[in-house]
Amino acid sequence: MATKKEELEEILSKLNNVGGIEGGSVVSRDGLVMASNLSGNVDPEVFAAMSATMLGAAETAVSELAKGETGRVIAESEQTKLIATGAGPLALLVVMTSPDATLGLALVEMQKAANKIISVLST
Amino acid sequence: MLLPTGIPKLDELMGGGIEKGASILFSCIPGVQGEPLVEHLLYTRLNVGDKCTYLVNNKKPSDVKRSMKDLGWDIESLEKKLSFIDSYSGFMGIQGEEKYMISDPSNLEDLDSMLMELFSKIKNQVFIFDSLSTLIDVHGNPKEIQEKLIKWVLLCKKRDITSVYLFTRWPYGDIKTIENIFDAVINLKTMEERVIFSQYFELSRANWAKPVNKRIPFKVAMGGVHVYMPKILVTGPHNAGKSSLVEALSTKSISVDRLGTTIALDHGKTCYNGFMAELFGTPGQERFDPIIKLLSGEALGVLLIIDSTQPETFTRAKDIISMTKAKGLPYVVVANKQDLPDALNPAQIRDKMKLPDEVKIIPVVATQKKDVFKALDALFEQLI
Repeated sequence: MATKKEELEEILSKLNNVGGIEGGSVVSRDGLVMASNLSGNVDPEVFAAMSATMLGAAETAVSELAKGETGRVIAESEQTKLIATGAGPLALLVVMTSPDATLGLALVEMQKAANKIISVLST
Repeated sequence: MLLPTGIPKLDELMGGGIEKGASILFSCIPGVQGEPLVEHLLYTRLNVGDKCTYLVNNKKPSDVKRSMKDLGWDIESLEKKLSFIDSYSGFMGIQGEEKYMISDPSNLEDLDSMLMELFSKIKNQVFIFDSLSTLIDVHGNPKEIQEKLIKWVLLCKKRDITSVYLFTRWPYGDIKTIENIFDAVINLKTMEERVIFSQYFELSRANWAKPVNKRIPFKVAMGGVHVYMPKILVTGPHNAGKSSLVEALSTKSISVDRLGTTIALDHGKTCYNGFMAELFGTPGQERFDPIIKLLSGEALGVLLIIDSTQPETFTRAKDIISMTKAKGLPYVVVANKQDLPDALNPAQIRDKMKLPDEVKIIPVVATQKKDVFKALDALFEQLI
């Protein structure tokens, strides 16, 4: 039987190369790595902590305005787009895409992946 | 005589180390790698001058050397003391380079006569068998293997050879009988508590030591096996020195600060005395309270840092502790800025904050890294 960690890694690997997605992490809401397939010289622990803070801070800022729920946070740089979205009360999903990725497909696939993460974590 | 493994917490569980001549089984649930613990032990023993023999049947001897090198150990200078028995290359039909080769590892009689001969030649060594489960897989008859094992273990004991066996608990049926052959059994397991996935070791039993019921979470990184704390919260009032403390404790740290104030979090990784911990430093000002709440979940322990010269901030310090979900977790009060003339001493702080006697207060100077590790020690002591 696959462990939850393996199931999450499976979800991440299926997400790779779809819609320009180049890697990602499943992170607990409080900033700990649950699963990660970031390539290269990335420290997954630091990346996880910062991603959770980024999404958490954005959600708090939006809810202070009382303008509904935050769908996602997108940070753009010259070399990548970083997208973080909630995946239930326990986790969030964050991915990197190529800089010229069109976001439509990536966002749809992320939403599907987020739903799968929710169901893995709720069993 | 006890032989330390070099993994401090493992040694502590066993009362100081492995008894010389004893047999020990590392029993891993599938998915957990026991090799790093054995490699750590091997490196430690080689380093203090012991001779070691390593039987390997599931990878090449050079793979073992490479994986030890990856942990940061200079294995080449110790190679003279280490001999391999290669029971893999012959099986895979590739050219092996070791002096001792076993061409057909499924032939138990060959293996038996070779080991019995070896054990009657060598003395006072460490012998590693990697791995028992592979032998069971290729040979297929656990009963026969058990009989041989009992012989091997006995002869080793007579010859003062400390023998270490790696084993993965695939469903072989009667695992208890296998485990009972050994003087000590270390279990390696995983836990999936809440959302963190971690692995831990525990001492199932050791004939020479008192039983201790402790689970030690660990992680493998440069330098071998470390006791692992995925989250230690560093928090306290504004300007108490949280970022300085994270920096002083960390081998590698990152701070998200603007205008000299942490606005998101500090993150540091510390490797110290066989421990490895991720430090999460929070902002201190009240307007960032949502972030403190966000980050404090799943913490194992808290370093509450205060500015010893600012007693008026102590109430805020206590508020933060009760606000974090960390309430009820072990915490240590870190009394910072002890180099300043008007710093209060621990007794005065205990009195002002009305802290119970069991809460430790450690005076430090974070900017000079003075005594900061004492604070970490005090917390680790409560955690494990």
